[in-house]
Amino acid sequence: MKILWYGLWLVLLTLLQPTLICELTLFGIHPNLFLCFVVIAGYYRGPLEGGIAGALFGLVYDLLIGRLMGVDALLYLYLGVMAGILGTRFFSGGKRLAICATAGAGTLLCAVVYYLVRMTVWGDISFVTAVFRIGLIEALYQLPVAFLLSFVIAKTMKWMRLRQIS
Amino acid sequence: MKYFFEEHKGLVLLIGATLILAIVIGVFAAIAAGEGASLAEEATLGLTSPMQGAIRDGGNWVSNLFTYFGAVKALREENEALRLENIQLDRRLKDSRGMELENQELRTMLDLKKTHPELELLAAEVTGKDPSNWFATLIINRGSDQGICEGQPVLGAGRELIGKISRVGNDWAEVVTILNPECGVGAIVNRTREVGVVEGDSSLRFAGKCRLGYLSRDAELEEGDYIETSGMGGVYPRGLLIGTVLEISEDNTNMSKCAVVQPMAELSKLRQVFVLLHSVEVISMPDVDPEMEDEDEDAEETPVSTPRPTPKATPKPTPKATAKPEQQESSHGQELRE
Repeated sequence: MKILWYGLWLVLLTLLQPTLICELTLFGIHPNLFLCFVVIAGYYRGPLEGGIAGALFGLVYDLLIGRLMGVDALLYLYLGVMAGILGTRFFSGGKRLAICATAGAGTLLCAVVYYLVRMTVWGDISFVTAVFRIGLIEALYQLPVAFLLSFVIAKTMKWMRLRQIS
Repeated sequence: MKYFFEEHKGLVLLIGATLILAIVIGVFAAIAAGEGASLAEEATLGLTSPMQGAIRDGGNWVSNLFTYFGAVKALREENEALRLENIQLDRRLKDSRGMELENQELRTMLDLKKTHPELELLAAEVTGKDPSNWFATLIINRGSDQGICEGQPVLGAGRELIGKISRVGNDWAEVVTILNPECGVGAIVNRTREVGVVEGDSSLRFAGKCRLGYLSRDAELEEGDYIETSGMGGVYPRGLLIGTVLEISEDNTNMSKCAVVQPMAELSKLRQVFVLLHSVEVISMPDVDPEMEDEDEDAEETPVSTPRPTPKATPKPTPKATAKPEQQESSHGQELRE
């Protein structure tokens, strides 16, 4: 059941992210549901599953982008583990705000790493553009998206009879 | 006699009442035939009429009230039916608008195929976009099975440049648009024939613009100048429209000029594109008059290298192709005559 749940979400996000989500732009920036899902999975299912989901979802995200293969897989792996640790140790109750904050901070962190990697590989982006024009706006956009997505994910977990780890 | 009355009391009363009433009717009929209403009538009806009016109004009100309550259900149903009909009509209108736009787009694409028969174009639909915010790419629903290879130029219906193929699958391909910094295009300013390179800029990308760089320092550029592909580099044929100059500035090094370019294609709203399957050196102009065509044949043309192995069509080269066909013809002819 667990594998089915992750599989369904993976298929759904792979279909939605390059199509529908890409149209929901705010100042030219759209949210990243893959990152949101990894954070929520980490909070709800613990560090182990968060890490595995992070690596898997990050890899698929990398495959969709087709550049810098493995960067997102690695970043999301750490993010999933971190979310899992935060979820189990610090936020046993009232996780939604913590999910939003983690998704926002994770997005910003990913933007910094992406900037460094991209500067190393192509050298075609400035720090201001990467962090403030892309990272910050995306991070702010992720807050409400992660909040709303957490409800949907919690609901699907309930349908699939998967319990939340707290 | 007394007994008769007592015995037939009812009959007597009936006859008596009939006679009285007959007399009354007769009198009233005589009065009505003669003058207007009598004083008695006036007094009776004058007093009762307002009351009758009030009572009648009240009756009407009660009647209307019952009618209203009776009609509410019907009205509600009618309202609901009209609302649904309105939604359906609205949806149909929007659908027809969408179909109209699509139709127009497809017609333009068909025109492009007709006006440029030398080009082997493959129509493709945009199915997705870059899932991240870091690269300006598109996914199309045609791939290697349909003859798409890496590096092939991608055009819009109005022969405007969109980008080039960067990744290819069996039935999908990724297009790097000109907004992406990875995409560099040899460009030429249509009016002044200044040569430069159009490339994506990370900061301008979100505004849907790109940069024209490597222009000479004394380049005479003006806002609104049309930019098109120069054909240098061999990836893109000459004469594809890129965009118009929006803003001109000095380069950071002050060694050259650069300009912000507004692409001709609205890249955020693309639905249909063309992939140029075989390389051509120059995209010829449509509707060129014969006189100019003769001149074109005489005009000198610098050969442009083509990376693809078997170029299927190499049309007559035209030294100049501009954004708008109308302007194109005039400026083209003028330059050639000079």
